[in-house]
Amino acid sequence: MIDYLVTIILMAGIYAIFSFGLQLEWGFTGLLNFGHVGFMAIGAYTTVLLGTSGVPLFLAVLTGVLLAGIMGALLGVPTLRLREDYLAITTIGFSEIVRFILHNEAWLTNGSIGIGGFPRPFGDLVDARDYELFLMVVVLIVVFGLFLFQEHLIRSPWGRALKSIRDDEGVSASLGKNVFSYKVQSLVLGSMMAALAGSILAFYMQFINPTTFMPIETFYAWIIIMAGGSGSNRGVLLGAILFQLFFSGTRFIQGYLPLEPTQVGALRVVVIGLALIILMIYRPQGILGNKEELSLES
Amino acid sequence: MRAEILKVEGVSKSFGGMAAVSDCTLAVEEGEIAGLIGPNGAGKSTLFEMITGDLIPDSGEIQFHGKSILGVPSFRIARMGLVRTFQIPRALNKMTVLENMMLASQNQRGEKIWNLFLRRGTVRREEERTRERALELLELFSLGTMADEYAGALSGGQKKLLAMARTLMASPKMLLLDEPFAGVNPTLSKRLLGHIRELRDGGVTFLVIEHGIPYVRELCDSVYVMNRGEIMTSGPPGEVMADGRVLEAYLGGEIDAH
Repeated sequence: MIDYLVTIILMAGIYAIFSFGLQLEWGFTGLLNFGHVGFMAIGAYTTVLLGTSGVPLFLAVLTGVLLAGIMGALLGVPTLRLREDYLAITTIGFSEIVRFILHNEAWLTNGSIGIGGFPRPFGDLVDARDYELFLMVVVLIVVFGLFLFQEHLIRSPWGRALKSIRDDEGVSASLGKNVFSYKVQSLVLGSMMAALAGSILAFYMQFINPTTFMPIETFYAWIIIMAGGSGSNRGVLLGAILFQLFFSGTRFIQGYLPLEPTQVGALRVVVIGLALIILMIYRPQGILGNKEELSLES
Repeated sequence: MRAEILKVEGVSKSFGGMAAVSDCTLAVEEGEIAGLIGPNGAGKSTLFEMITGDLIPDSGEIQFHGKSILGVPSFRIARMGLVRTFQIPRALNKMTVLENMMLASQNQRGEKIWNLFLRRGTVRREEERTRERALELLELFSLGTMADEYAGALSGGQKKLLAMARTLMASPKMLLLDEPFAGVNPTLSKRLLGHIRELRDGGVTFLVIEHGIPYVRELCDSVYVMNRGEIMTSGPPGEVMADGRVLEAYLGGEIDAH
């Protein structure tokens, strides 16, 4: 039971880190990013590939995070001048391109077979049986740190400029704000957070392959944000916990239902969809979102 | 003669073969309130948007303070001190009135992300000063009690006041006002008039698009009249209004001359 709880907290933490990035992009800047998982994949694969070839793990993670930031800038420069729906299309295309490259460039990534058995940080110091617990503590520290980091960011003049872009970028520009630059900064930072989540996910799973990074992962982050409340960092935490509880909880009831495991999987998605619809009807701003902000839609 | 702060020379713009603005030339002197009038569809807004950098002219030249601003992105033009308002006030509805104001302050060090971590003290002190200045201006525009409300909760008139106060936070050298009196009740209009005059006396230059002839007469030092994409005539408001062609251009449009 304790193991089970550790797993839930660990996974919720990883999804929280992942969703903080999307929250920065969507909740505070208004960027419709449907390809967030692409950066998670970049972070995970970079960390694992460098780690297996002997690079110190701290450096491997850092490189993954920085590479995701650079890729965020490279993706952002040609696309962030696009209207939001076009941005959504190009970003989802980006994440699929990343996945297909990971799939096809087998000389580097081992293709669809994936990579396993790579070193983990402090893997030789922490007993294998306690490793999840150790990783959970690390994740909690990272989540807490990121939470403070993001709160500091959005309560600053920098964050104010981001929020003005979310509201009406024409006004931001008319007041001398370099809208494009802020959007790129937001996408870069958000992508770096996704990469960090990817690295930790790899350490936890001890195995990654391209199907780990299906587009649905991006939409899990969207679910977390919509449920928790867009524009709320606390909402990210709550959303991630609820999402994980639900996902793991359905495993419990599986034995009591006259259904095949695949049917339970499908049912799970149906229930999530239904829950979101009900939430959007009765509390469209999300659980911790600000009702007033929503009712003031111009 | 005082120095010309804004010069528009031979500017043209067409959309899909339709000439919206053709060969327009105007100049605004430092410290004056210039008016831009004309019937609907005369090309005033198009000309305006070219000055603010939101549209790029097909030909011609635009100079601010003797420097060409052709092709300069709108945010850089705003940073140079040429700031606009919108015809329908665009408050940032999901931000508080105070946040709307503080956003507009220029050269904030806290807008650079690294300063948030490397120069926390400087950013905090600067933020304190920005807040004080914003509150003073809000007080001046009778919005002091609304500071912590969402801007979306303001009335239409209050949004116009906020828009004006917000541009002042940017310490502009010149303001471009797009129909500042449209849809504003007489009491509020009087206050806006007062504010504009005070600012002019403080050294700010204005170019104002306005339909209400009485306001133009009362406020403007010089007037440009546009019709069918061209500057038809210009001069002091009294002279221009007496010009028969101006009335003619407005016929069928909205004559508001009482």
